[in-house]
Amino acid sequence: METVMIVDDTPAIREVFTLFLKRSGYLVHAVMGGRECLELLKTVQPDLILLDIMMEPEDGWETLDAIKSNPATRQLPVMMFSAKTPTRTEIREHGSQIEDYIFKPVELAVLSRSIASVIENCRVVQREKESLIQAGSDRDTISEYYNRLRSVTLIKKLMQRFRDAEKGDEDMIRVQEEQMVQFRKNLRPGTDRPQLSGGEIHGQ
Amino acid sequence: MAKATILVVEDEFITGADIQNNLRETGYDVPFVVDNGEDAITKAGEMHPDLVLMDITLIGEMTGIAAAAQIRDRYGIPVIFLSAHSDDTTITRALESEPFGYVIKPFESRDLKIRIEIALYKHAMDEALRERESTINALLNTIPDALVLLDHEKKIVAVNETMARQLQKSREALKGLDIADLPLANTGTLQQIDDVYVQGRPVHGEEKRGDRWYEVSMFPMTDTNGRITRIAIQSHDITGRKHFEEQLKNEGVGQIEQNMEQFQTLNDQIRNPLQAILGYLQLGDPAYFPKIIHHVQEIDNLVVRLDKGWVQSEKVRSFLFRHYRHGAGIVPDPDGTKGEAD
Repeated sequence: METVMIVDDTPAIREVFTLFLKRSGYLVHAVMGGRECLELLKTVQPDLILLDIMMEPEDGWETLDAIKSNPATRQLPVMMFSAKTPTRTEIREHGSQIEDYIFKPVELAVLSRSIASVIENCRVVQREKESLIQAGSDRDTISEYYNRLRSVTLIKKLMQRFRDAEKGDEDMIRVQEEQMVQFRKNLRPGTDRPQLSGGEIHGQ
Repeated sequence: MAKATILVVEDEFITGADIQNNLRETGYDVPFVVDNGEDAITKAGEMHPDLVLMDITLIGEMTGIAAAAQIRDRYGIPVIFLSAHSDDTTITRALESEPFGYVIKPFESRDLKIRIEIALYKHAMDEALRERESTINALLNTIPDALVLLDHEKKIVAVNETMARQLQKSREALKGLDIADLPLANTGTLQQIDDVYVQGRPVHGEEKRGDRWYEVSMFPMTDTNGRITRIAIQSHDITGRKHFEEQLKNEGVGQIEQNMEQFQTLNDQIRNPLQAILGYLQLGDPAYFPKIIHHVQEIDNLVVRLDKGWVQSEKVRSFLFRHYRHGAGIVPDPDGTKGEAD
């Protein structure tokens, strides 16, 4: 049974999501803030963290930084969940750390599909990584490649939400894509999946 | 036209009476003949004649030349000198006191009349010119804007008091100076002056001198042949307006930033209840209906608060209107089909 951790300061959202996800067959932990999330992560290893952004005292981005800077939790997939359109800066800084970004309000069926798809995708990526490691690829190169891939996919998805696409956005994508291609060249194809086509993030 | 009044100053009684008769016959009013400088000055002050006919040699200490100078300075009355002298030094001295004429005795009454008429005419012209100049000066100095008139070499022809004050020099001292040497002209200004000469059209712009802002207008001035010979430059102080705009801009931007921040919070405050409503609905259990209603009310209350809070956005509206020409309800509907602005 897969475990999902919901971090949101709105009790009704925690209630609805808990009920729904339990019904959908997940094991659910719901907490009201970043501090509680980090505390619970000491004992729980969720398959996905659904993280609200606008929270007090620590907001979602700060909580994300704490998760990703701790070696014990950094590999946990995180999906941001907010009413707010992220700024370009936020995406530049955190794009490679998150699996997806979902906007409130979201239909439960869509949420369910996103969660399933992120968890599945993370599994695929995990298998690819292991295969690449076995084939002798460098671990840092592998993680850099997947970070870029995540980031590029996310920016492409979120760009539509930016009210006015700027020249900078295109550049941001281009730079990351170039880096991604560079990292991919340095990877030795693994046995599991010779064509590195995985890692796509499925949107809402 | 009334008869011109003439005061005759002559130390020789017979000559004086003779001139008086002569002038009366010619058509002038000659009420007095006095024989010394002091009396001449007193009488001139009392009767304000149109002209004084002054013998250079008089009884007493004062010469006719000295008396004439005082009469001119005090009362502005033109003087024609009479003298038997024809030597150069006397004439030169007499002319130094700017007389309107000089008649050497003996003279023909016809010659004297011509001299008098010329003097009266010249005096009237000078008066008219002085009058016009003082009117122009009054006009130039009444307006608070700085004005300067330049010739085609960009040299100052005239400035008004405001301009002189700004440049901390007297109006006289500024005449003839090159505008390029004064702190009021930068390279842009000089280029604009050239443009006005070439294109013959007025130009307007804003410029900063020191810590003050001016709206500067340049007007071409043409002579009777239509050639541009001068350029008038008017500088209107708009520092106050600039400060106001700056303040409005800062306040407007500040308020907009504040509203944006509020809006980000709003985002969450509206979409969280929406998420709850959507979620409860999709859970599909009527037991959740009261919760749905609760969250609907939450959004409703928020909108009420907003409605009150955003009244203070007046500043934002005036900012938007001023800088982007749009603002709620300010611009009237051009064809009136939409009715009242809401």
